[in-house]
Amino acid sequence: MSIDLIKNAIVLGSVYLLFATGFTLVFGSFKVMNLAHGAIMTLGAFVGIYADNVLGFPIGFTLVVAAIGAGAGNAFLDAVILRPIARQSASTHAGAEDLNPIVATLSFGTIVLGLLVQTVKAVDFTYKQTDALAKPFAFGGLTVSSLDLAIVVCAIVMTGLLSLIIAKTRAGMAVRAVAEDRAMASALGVRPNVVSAATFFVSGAMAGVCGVLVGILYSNVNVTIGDHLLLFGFVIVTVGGLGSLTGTAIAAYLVALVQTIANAYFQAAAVDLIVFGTLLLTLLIRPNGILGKNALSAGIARR
Amino acid sequence: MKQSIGLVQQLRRSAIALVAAVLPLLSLPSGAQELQLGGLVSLDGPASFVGIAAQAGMKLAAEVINKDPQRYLGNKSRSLAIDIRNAGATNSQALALARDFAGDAKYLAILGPSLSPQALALGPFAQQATIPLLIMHSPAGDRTVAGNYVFAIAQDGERLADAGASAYLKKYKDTKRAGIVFGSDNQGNVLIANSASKAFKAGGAEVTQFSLPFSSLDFSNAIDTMKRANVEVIYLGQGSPAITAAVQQAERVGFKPRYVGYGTMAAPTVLKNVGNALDGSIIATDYDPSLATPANQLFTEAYRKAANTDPDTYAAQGYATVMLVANAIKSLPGVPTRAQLATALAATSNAESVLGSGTFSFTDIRTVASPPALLQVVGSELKPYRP
Amino acid sequence: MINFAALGGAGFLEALLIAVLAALSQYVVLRAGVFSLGTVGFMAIGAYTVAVLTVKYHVAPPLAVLCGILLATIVGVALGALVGKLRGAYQGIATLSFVLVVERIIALWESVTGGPFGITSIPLFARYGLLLATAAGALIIVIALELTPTGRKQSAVRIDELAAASFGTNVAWVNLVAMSVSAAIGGLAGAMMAGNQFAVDPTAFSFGLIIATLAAVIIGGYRSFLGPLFGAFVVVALPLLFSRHQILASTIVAIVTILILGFAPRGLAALTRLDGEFLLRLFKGPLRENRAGSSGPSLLMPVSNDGGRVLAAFEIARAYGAVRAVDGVSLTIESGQIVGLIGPNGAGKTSVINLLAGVVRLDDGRVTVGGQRIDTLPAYLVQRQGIARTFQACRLFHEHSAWSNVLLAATSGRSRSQRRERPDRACAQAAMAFTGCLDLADRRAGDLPYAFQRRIEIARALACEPRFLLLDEPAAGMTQSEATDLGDVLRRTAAQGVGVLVVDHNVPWILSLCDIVNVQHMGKIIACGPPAAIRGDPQVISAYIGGYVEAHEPSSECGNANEAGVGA
Repeated sequence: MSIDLIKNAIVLGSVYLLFATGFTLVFGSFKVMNLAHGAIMTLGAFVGIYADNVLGFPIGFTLVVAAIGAGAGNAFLDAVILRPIARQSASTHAGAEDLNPIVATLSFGTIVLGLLVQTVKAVDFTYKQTDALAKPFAFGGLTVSSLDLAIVVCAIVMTGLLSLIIAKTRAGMAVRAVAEDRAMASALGVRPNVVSAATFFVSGAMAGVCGVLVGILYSNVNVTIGDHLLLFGFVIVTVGGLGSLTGTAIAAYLVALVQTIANAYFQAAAVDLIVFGTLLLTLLIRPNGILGKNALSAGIARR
Repeated sequence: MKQSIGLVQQLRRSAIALVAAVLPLLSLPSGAQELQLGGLVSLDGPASFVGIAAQAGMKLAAEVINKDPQRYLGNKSRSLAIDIRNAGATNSQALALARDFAGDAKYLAILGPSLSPQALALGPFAQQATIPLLIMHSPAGDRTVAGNYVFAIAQDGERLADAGASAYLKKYKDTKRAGIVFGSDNQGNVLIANSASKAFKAGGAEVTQFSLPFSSLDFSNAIDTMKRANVEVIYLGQGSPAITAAVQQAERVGFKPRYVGYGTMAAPTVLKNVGNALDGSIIATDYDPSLATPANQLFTEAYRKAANTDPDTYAAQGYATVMLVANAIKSLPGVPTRAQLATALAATSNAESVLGSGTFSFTDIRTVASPPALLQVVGSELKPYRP
Repeated sequence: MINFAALGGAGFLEALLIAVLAALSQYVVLRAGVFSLGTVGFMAIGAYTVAVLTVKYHVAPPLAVLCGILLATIVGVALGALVGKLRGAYQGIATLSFVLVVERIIALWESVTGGPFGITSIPLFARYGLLLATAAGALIIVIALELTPTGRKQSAVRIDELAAASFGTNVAWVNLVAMSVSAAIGGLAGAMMAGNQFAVDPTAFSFGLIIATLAAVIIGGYRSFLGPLFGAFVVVALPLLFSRHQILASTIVAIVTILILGFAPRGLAALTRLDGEFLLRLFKGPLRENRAGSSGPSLLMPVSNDGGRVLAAFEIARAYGAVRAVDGVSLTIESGQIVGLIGPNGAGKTSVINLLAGVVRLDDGRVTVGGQRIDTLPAYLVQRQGIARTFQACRLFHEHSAWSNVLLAATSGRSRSQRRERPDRACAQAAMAFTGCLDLADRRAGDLPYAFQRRIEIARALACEPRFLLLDEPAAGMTQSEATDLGDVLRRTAAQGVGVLVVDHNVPWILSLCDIVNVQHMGKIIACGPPAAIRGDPQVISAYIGGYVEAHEPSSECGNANEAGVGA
């Protein structure tokens, strides 16, 4: 196994982590499996393309603009689509399982992508102002670009920062309170709507940053870049243990490593077979993910 | 139950037929004949870049034809209309829409689909329903032409790969090591990879293959593998966005091989995005944008005006497909039937076309007869390549 | 510009019927609370079996279809057994992985499946006539399953798995049944797809189809068999209706889908009243006829007092992390006795009930009924030992009628001999009459006032004909007079020979009701005795006003306090 392979696995794992962190944040707090997350990432990438190609912003600004754009898109999803449907649902029917967000977020993703296609006509783009990230560093036989470093650092810092915020700050406490019990949190003076919009915004903003970095890393932005990541995001978040950021990080790098190594020795279809086969086995051995808490079922199965 | 549904359907069908029969009478001067075609293209999903361009080409062709029906349809009271539907990404939807077209007598032929899996399912259907099907873009080629009602407008993928790799080897005779990067979950790509591999080996080159999902844009491992194998040339069979991605990712790590590809590599956006990185590459494709025929000049200018960009292979295929149907209709007097149209299409020989080298003929099994157009990239410009 | 004509042709009908089959397969699992996304994998197996057998081996289509169904079912049973212990999203991802693994195996196994090219020129045998017949057949099977006790248990498990298990439902078994039926119908859907679409290739069984099938059932609703029909119609019809809008088609479809979701968040089928419950009432007739004649408490079966069986806990303990929720508790409940368990918030009272009912495993100690250890049994088998319970937060199957809730307990919560001795319906009816809620039988449980929901919960527990009844805060949220009525019901229950354990916060109510009262604090029993003794106990008072209490051995009165009944 070459050192390049490990480097590639680490970069890929960081991409997965950047994508999955925002996904986990929303799932952990609101039990919403946001199938629009891929589309939101794509939206961020395109906002970034506008800032980069048309406005000529330097890459730092582009990242901020893309984060705001994607964050706003995700907050819109929460405020205009998810919450009204949940309200409607709650008024007719109290407290049961709710699968509606799956369809609602999926549809929202389709709308975002459809409007993007309509606007950009499915043409693909590349980022131009990326000279700052193109610098290669050589460590012995290994060449690492400043872009690779930026992605790895970004992924780890953003995930670490987010866990700190959730664990230590007042804002994080508000999120945890709303996650636990919406009614109780509002009785304690937390405004659940503000908290959920903010959480969705942060989640979307991370997806936007991910979109720009992926766009630069892969030298291409088109309307399908989110599709592939969505499936893996879905998988990583679950295998990590739903809602656990540390578990998500472990799962992201683990999946990337399995995938990269398998890819070096087998053809692509076999790679997916190995990745998903491993996944199935992992869940059979650890039914609540790598770091997941015991589910409701724990007592019934008498483990 | 079965009968009652049949009855409802018949009623509905006759109602539609009635409306269809009456409407043209109302809207057109007497003696006018509107020829209706059904279009099926995928406008969402990973291959939407094909469908959207093909749709633009088809619409443009109908406009051009209807401006001069005497010339294109052989009768000035004729006109051509294309009812284009979004076939989505599934065989189910493509088939449901195709069954609709086939069930409605006013549609003379179906143009499309633009996805290989849909083409593989629609071929046998069209043959059974006896409605001409003109498959626009499917590198699965031969395998899609299920019978005498099914036609392939696009070059067979194997042939394109062979032509491209062979032309490359003729130009760069001492090639020792060649690489192939392809999506192993895509029918066309697998054929292309096998064929390119055979051609490179026949020219004495050692071949390194690397496969990844067709939709993947992460070429880091592929490029590392190619770099380690020290290949001089890489055959890239992916879609246009992926080609941009692969070429730029290689350039970023200081790896600058030459490339061979097909239509996806000749897309204007690819050349715009990658700068000079494709310099020296060879492309075998259906469409040569620099083709200096009046037909192509007319097409290129009209397309630029309509779409504000240069046409790519898929736009040209959409345009050419409609033109081929018009050409076949031209030879048919009166009101053409589907069977007549199929026969006339099969007889197409040296018809004026924007594809290939300016003329188009079908083989005995209704695939493209003319050889692929060969292009080379000089700097960031596409130039014809004449060995 | 909506393309209504697209819905007039055979193409739409055929696509719709295949989608209905797929949606039915997905519905069967979702309805049972199994979050399986395996349907598309079963479809792939069915489709490829048919394709390979008809094209390569020239097997007649009907036989090939049967083989497809069979193979899919076998795989479904195996998958169901494997993912049986997973729940929710984990189950979703595991089954999703299964589908992707199937898809990849198909793509790689080129010699049999044709690899990425798939198999073409499959004979066209599934036109709309056959599709209509198979879809109708599958629908009938699904409805029939829904009307069986197993089907009703499945819906109970979805609504509240814990409550269902507490009433004798073998969750693993009903889940496995759901998975198998889903697999069989999925295999059928795939087989029909192959027989209708000329070609199969691996890309047809993609993530997109998985999500579309799931979406169909969510849009249509998974609480009524009409759901998959409505949902399939929406997901097949909308793209065709808007297919002329070309690039915007998918966007318009998505917007309309969201509007439908906002309009009918419980699924389109919920707009009708037609569901399994409705059919059950229709077929089995309403209760009304025989209700008039039956009233009065005497209908409840007296409990055979075989040798004065005792439910006893010895030094049971359970810790959650560092918190010792139950810390060496011993208590006994005798036949015909009402035993109270009180204590401040967080004392561990509910945990005691969960330990006795077998919902939570013991760390230490043991629980016996008539000397037999029961703490090693799963919840549904503990229930079979004659232990029924209610929950702190009311856990009725709120979508079911009150009648259906009680009937489910009578069906699944009793032994074979009990059911022989007295028919399920008579038993359920008696239990409802006993608790005075027979008039509410046809109402949806979730629509009833809270006090009645609690009564129905008790009726449901009594319909199991238990020897012991464990009640978790039955009087919480009740007015004084409602609590008094409830007390009467409990006294009459005990008079039938049932041993009753009542956990509650309402100390005066407990003291007026119970024969023996246990006081729990910080996981330990700090006092035990007849109400009169508890009333003045300084330890109890300081526990309630928050002082520090040193745990001590409960007084010796506890074991033999039988005669210390205190009347109301």
